[in-house]
Formats: sequence, C-alpha cells, structure tokens
Amino acid sequence: KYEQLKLIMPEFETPLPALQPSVFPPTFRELSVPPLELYDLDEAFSSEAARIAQVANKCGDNDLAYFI
Amino acid sequence: TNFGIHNIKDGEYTQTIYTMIKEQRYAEAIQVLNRIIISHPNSRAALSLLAYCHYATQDFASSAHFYDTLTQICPDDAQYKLHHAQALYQACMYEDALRVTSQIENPDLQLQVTKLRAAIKYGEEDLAGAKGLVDSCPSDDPDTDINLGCLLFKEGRYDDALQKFTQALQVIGFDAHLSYNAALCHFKLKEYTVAQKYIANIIERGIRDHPELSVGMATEGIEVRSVGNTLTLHDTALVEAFNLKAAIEYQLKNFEAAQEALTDMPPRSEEELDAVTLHNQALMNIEAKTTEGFEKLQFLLQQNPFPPETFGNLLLLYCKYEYFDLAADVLAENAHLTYKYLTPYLFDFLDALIMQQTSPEDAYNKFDELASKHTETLRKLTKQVQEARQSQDDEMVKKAVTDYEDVLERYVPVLMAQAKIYWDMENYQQVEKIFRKSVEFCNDNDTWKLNVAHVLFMQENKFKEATGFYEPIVKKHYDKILNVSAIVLANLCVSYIMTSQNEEAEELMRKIEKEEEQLAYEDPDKKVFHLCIVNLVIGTLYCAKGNYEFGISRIIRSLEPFHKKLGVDTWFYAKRCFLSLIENLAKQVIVAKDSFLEECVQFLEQCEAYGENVKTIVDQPIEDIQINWGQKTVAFEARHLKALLLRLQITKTQ
Repeated sequence: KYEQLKLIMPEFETPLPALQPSVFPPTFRELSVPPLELYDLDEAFSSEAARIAQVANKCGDNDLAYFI
Repeated sequence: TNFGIHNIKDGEYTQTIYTMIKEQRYAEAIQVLNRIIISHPNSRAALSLLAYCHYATQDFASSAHFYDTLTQICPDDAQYKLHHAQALYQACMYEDALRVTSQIENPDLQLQVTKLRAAIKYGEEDLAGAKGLVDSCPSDDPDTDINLGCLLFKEGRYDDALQKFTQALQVIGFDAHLSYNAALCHFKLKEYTVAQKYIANIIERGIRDHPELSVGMATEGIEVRSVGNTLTLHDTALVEAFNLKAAIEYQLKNFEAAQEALTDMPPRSEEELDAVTLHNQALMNIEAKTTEGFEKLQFLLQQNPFPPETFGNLLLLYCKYEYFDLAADVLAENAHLTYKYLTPYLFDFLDALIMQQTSPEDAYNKFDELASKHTETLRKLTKQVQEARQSQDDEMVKKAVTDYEDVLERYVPVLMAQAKIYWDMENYQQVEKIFRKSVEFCNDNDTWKLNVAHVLFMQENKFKEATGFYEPIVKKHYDKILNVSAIVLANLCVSYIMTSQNEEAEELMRKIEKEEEQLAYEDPDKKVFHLCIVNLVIGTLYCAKGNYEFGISRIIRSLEPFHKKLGVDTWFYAKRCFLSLIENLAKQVIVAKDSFLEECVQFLEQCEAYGENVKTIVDQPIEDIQINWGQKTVAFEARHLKALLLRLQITKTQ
C-alpha cells in the first residue's frame, strides 16, 4: 500500500469489556464419603488350595462329613 | 516400585491391600484389585474396595460403575444404591443420579436421599427444585443453612447468603468449604480484604494439616509431582481458595500475583486439572502463552459443564487479537450458548465489533445506539448521586456512585470502538467531535484523555492542545518516566518541537536517556525502547517535512546499539523513512551529499549484519498461511534498500 510519509500514528486505545476470571460456585453440602468396608480379604481372595487348607485346619474330627 | 504387587502371597491380602489404602496409595490398590476381579468377578469385597478407591481418587464415573454392580449383587442393601447415586452426582451425571435416588425406599435413608436430591437439583441449576427440597430438611441442621446460603447466592443475594454462612460457621466452627463460601460472598460484594482473610486462613490450615500437598512449591521453582485429585485435596478447599485468590488479584489488576496464586496451588498434571483452574490458567497467562491459552479455552467450550465465563472471554480474546472471523464462527456455531452466557450488553458489543469488519457503517450505528443507552443511564445515575448527597444518605451515595462507575466501565469500550471507526478512516475531526460529546462523563478517564491527546496530535495543527493532554500524563509519572508509554513521550516531544519549545523537548529526552542508562546499569539484559522510539518519531517528523539529513541521522542514532534496538517495530518505522528518502531522490525532488548517502549505506550494512535473525513481521499465535521467513528478515530488506540506494548513486554519476 503506497502512502506518503507522515507522522507515526499512535495506537488508538480501544479497551474491551473486562475479561472475567472464573470461581467455583459456593459449595453445597455433600453427603459423607461412602465408608471403607472391612473384609477378610484372605478368605475372599486366597487360592483354592489355601482355602481348603484353611477350612481343613478349622475342622475337627466331627466336621469330617461336612468337609468332604 | 511395583515389585511384589504381582504376587501377593496367600494370607497377606488383607494386610497388603488395606495398608495401601491407609497410606493413600490408591492407584496401586486399584491395580491389584483389578487383577483380582478377573478371577473373582462377583466378589463383594473386591467390588466394594474398587468403588471406594475410585471415589477416593475422584474418579467418580468408575466408582459409580462398581457401586452399580454392587446394587445388583446385593439388591437388599440400600446403602449401595445411595452410594451409586452419590457417585453419579459427583460425576455430574445428574439425570442418572436422580433416577437411582428414586429407587431408594428405605425410610432410614430418606433424609440423606433428600439432601442428595437437593444437591443434584442445585448442580442442574434447577434452583426452585433445590429450594423445595432444602425447605423440607430440618431447620436446626447447619447443612440446611449452608444450602439455603448457596441458593441465595445464586439469586445474587450475596448479603443474605453471607449471613447464612456465618451463622453456620458459628455452629460448626472452621470448615474449609464453608469458609470458602463466605469468602466468595465477600468477593462478590467487592469486599476483597475480608475475602482475602478467609482465603489466607484456608491456605494456612491446608499447609499445616497437609504439608504433603506441596503448596507454593511450584512457584518456588521446586519440581513437584502431581498430588492427584484426592479426597484430601478436595476436603482442604485449596483449589477453590487459590482460584478465588487469583480472581481477586486479577480484578485488582495485580496480574503477577494472580499468576502466582495459580502456581501456588497444589500441583496436578494438566489432564487432572478442573475446568475452573484450566480456564484461569488460560486467561491469566494469555499474553505469555497465547496459543496455549486459546487451545485451553476452545477445549473447555467442548466440555460439559464449562465455566460460564469461558464463552464471553474466548470471544473477547479473539477480538483482542483481531481474529474476528474466528469470533464470528464461534458465535454462529454456538447460537444456543449466547442467551445463557452473554449479557445483552456483551452480545451487542461483540456483534457490532464483528460487524465492523464487513460493514463499518452498520457497526457505527450499532455502537451509537449502545452509547446513547449508556449515556442516558449515566445521566440518571448522576441525578441519583446528587439527590442522595442532598438528603445526606451515605449508603445511597455509595451505591449510586458504584453503579455509575460500573456503567462507565461498560460505556468506555463502546465509545472507543465507535471513535475507532473514524480514526481508521483518518477522519480526526469526527473523532474529536465524539470526544467532545462524551466529556461530561469521561474527563477523568485515562483512556479518554490519552485518545483525545492522540487525536489532537494527528490533526497536525493542534500541537498546543495536544501538549495540554500529553503533559499531565507524563508529569504524573515524572519520577519513573519509563513507566509512561514511549509513544506518549515521543508525541509530547514532537508537540514541543512544533510549538517552538525545543528546550522542553531536549530536557525530556535527557531525562529519558538518564533513566535508561540507570536501568541498563541495574539490569543490563532488560530491553528498553523509549529513547529509540522518541528518536524514531522525531526522525520521521523531520523526514516528513523534507529535512532528510537531520531526520535520517536521528533514525540511525535511534537504532544504536543494533543488537539491542533492532526489532520488528523499530525496523518498520526506520524503513519507512528510507523508502521515502529513496523515493524523493529518485524523483529528483531532493539532492543529497555523497557523504550523507555513504552514511546511509554504512547504516544499512550494519542492519544487514545484525538483522539476520530479526523478523519483519510478527508471529501470529494462530496462523495457517505459509511465510517465506528468509525474505522476511531485516537483513534481506536492508540489502534490498542498499541496492536501491547504490543504483541511485550510479545513475547520478553516469
């Protein structure tokens, strides 16, 4: 674009409406966190052989019929 | 390390897994349990622990999945249904959460169900629905007060909301989230100091009780691992507090402090960040990380939900960086968001600004309409202030003055956008007319004063008046003159020169030089361009008046030392003067001494030497056209100008 040399044009200030930061809305009350349940995981997860052994250890002579 | 996880020995499951949970090594616990669940797909223990661990890491969608399975395995246990609904609510899956709550019939759980349903309605922004449920809760339960406070807040009744929150604080003592709520009300009421006190308290507690959350370490430059989105982090309300802190500093225009509040926050990796933090990171670092900032805001717009400010801010930033087409596209593609997220004012303003690209005339009329609406309101408010003063109602005066300032803050952008249309057409008389009409509202406004000075200056016959506007701006910062923008200093010098006050101009330039030297001594690497720009502007003035020898010598001086002063803008203005010189030599309007031309050639050779890596156009953060960067360097253009000058010299001698 051709133009004759003239004064340096200053930048015309055109402020924009203010930018808005974001904030969390006020916190509504929450229910308490679900409880941590307690399980005997060794009973639940041990291998079959180990479980048989466990049960076997608990058994006395009188339980033999049940065990088999 | 993962060593040992793969093979838990029989008899050590309970100890190993519960220890991991106790030590909050949830990721490891999840890894082990995931393997176990393959062989025990219906194990209540495995499902329950997985649900718990996912909840604790705030992966609520996964947690909901496991609670869902538990409700099928144990249909009689209503607790699981409640936890399932709770996890769905936390994952923002509100409809599903409501559906599940409606299946809970156990009378013992009814109060909890009602509270959860109220929270879901609140999350859905169904405020009337939430209110109905909260009202049915016991009034002596502090939870009820807190929830009512949240609802009042959403109605914009910040004073009333604050009252509910402080009431609850008195009953239950310190609670991070409740303190946050109170701080938020003070923020909305513009009582920033009180808000900051609450925030400081939350942060102090967080640091004291949980040093493992690494507060402030990233700011200190210490490399820290993500602390993850744990329930502990959630309970401290630190993320909420630091975002609010950043917001306050941002409103107070303490931009560095705002950025610091964000880096002080407990560290998390980017993909773990919540939407509010991500939004504020984008906004508060937009100047240093523009491309990244745009990417983040665009990403957020695709999320559900996203911070309500995202839409307006993205559009305004597109306009600020002159991506009007992108702004128009986003506005057209998201018509459904406009009503919800833009105030009528912001919509009208953006609409006019975008329209200006295709039809300046229509845009002008639209701005004019907006401006007259605002001036009307301003006049009304002026009257209110006067009346309140007469009746000595201090409360009323304060409110009317605040309202007036708010409206003025919205009016100035409209006024300037409107004036800019004539400014771009170089119709300075019209710009001046617009400013005359707005003087009654704006004569205290810094932007207004600055633009008035510019518009008087550009008319080239009002340098005396221009001095009257530039001078106070400079005088105000006379002790720290480098805080004044260079162009203001330069234009004041020119105005002095054009009104035969050369001594004032020289004195001002000496003052700038002295401060720059002082600064160079204190901080040798800091780049300053003030004197350089002043010389460029004065040099250009002399060249424009035909006094090339004096003008060019100023230009040459302005760019010394080259390695510090050669840049996109400085080169742009230097180049204009050389082009004008060459043009007038070629047309034989002027003649020049050989020694002068020799000096010019030497200068251009210096530019060639130092300008290899100086670009002549600015990198755009979003750019899709290919640019041949080799030709867009100062070295290339200086060589070109030198060739033109040499050719003129050869023609002259032949």
